[in-house]
Parts: sequence; C-alpha cells; structure tokens
Amino acid sequence: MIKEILTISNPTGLHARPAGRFCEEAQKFKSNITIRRMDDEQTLNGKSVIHILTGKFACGSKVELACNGDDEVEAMDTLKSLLSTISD
Amino acid sequence: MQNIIDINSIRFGYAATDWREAVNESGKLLVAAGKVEPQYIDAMIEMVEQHGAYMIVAPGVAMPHARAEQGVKETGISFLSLQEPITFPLKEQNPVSLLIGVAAIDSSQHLDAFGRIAALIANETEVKELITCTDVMKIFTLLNT
Repeated sequence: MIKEILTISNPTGLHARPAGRFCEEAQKFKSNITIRRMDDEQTLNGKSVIHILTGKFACGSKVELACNGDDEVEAMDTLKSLLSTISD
Repeated sequence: MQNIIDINSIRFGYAATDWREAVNESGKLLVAAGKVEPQYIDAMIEMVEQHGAYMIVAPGVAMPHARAEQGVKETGISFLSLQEPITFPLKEQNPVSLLIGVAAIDSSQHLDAFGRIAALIANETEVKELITCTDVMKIFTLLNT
C-alpha cells in the first residue's frame, strides 16, 4: 500500500462534479483506493461518490490518499495529479 | 440552525415522463420554498445538458443543482420521489426514482448540503425507504436533523 498526504486545491472543494471525476478515474484501477481527512479517522471508499461526498472535503483540507494493489503506483500518480489540477 | 428543507419542498410519487420534467419539478419545489429564483430551474437542466448526469450519486438518486450565482437566494434542498423511474442521457443503466434538488449560497454550504444528504443515502436500504416514503413529517424531520 502507498499513502500520501495531499491538500485539496480545488477552490470549491470536492463537490459533486470533481468528486465524480475522481471516482471515475479511481474506478479504472484494480487497487483499493481510500481517502481520509487528516482530522478524521474514518477512511472513505475513493471509488464511491457518495462516500467522498460524506467527507465534505473543502479547499485546503489535508487528506490521506491510500492506494493498495498491483497498480497502486500508477493509481497514486494519476489520482494525485488529478486532485492537484481539478479546477471546477 | 435554519431548516435545510421546507415542508413545501417535499413531494412524493410525481409522474414525470422524462428527466427534464423531473428536474423541472425538483427545481419548482425549491422555488416554492423561496430558496431560488425561477431561472435556477433552467440552470439545473442546463447543468445536466452541459456536464451530463454526474449528480446521480447513488443508485436511484440524483441531486440536480446549479451554481449559486444562477439564482440561489438561500441554501435549501427539495425532495421529489417519482411514480416511475426516469433515466438521464448516457446513464440509461442508472434509472432514478428520487431527486434531491440542491441550492447552496456558497461552496461551503454546498459541500455541507451534499455531505448531509450523502450520509442519508449511503446504503441501498435507506434509499428504498426514502423512495417509498409518503410521510412528509418523516422526511422533513430526517433531512433537517
């Protein structure tokens, strides 16, 4: 498993549309993808829009993204890049 | 804390013939509660036309919305269950029976509203109960808690 701490940079946070885009990308990978706010213990399924929305990830939130599986390196690279470039 | 859903924003068993009718009614319920201007309804429909039905966030549930500057007066949501499911363009495999319209005055309240609803519809059993519910006070209390 690989984990990285990232900051949500989208000015409007991870609302429905960016959350949907993130999940769509995450679903392309075989690895389990989870995301967790640093101030919360609960890990959320990164492939489920509903789960991500319950996290209410605002702009500036620090999150821990974890990818676990055969394609975890590629998954982390793709999703990390997506989170840092989403502007919606 | 102000109620996020108004009694006038709840409707059950609406007979929509297509997604536009369903989103239109969802928006009208927000207008009825004084949360949005009428033009917000067109903006909700345009959002689907331009960006697709990304707001089908759980099986059977869509959360149509538009941007704050497109006519939001106050943050609020509407609850509309359908008599028969409808489908959105390119999402024909995901029929929708429940529309929760969202109006948010800023991105923080937008995230908060979506987060609250998401927590309620995170499992299929709860979604089924919401879709078949005909008790206005139950929905009013549940969504305002």
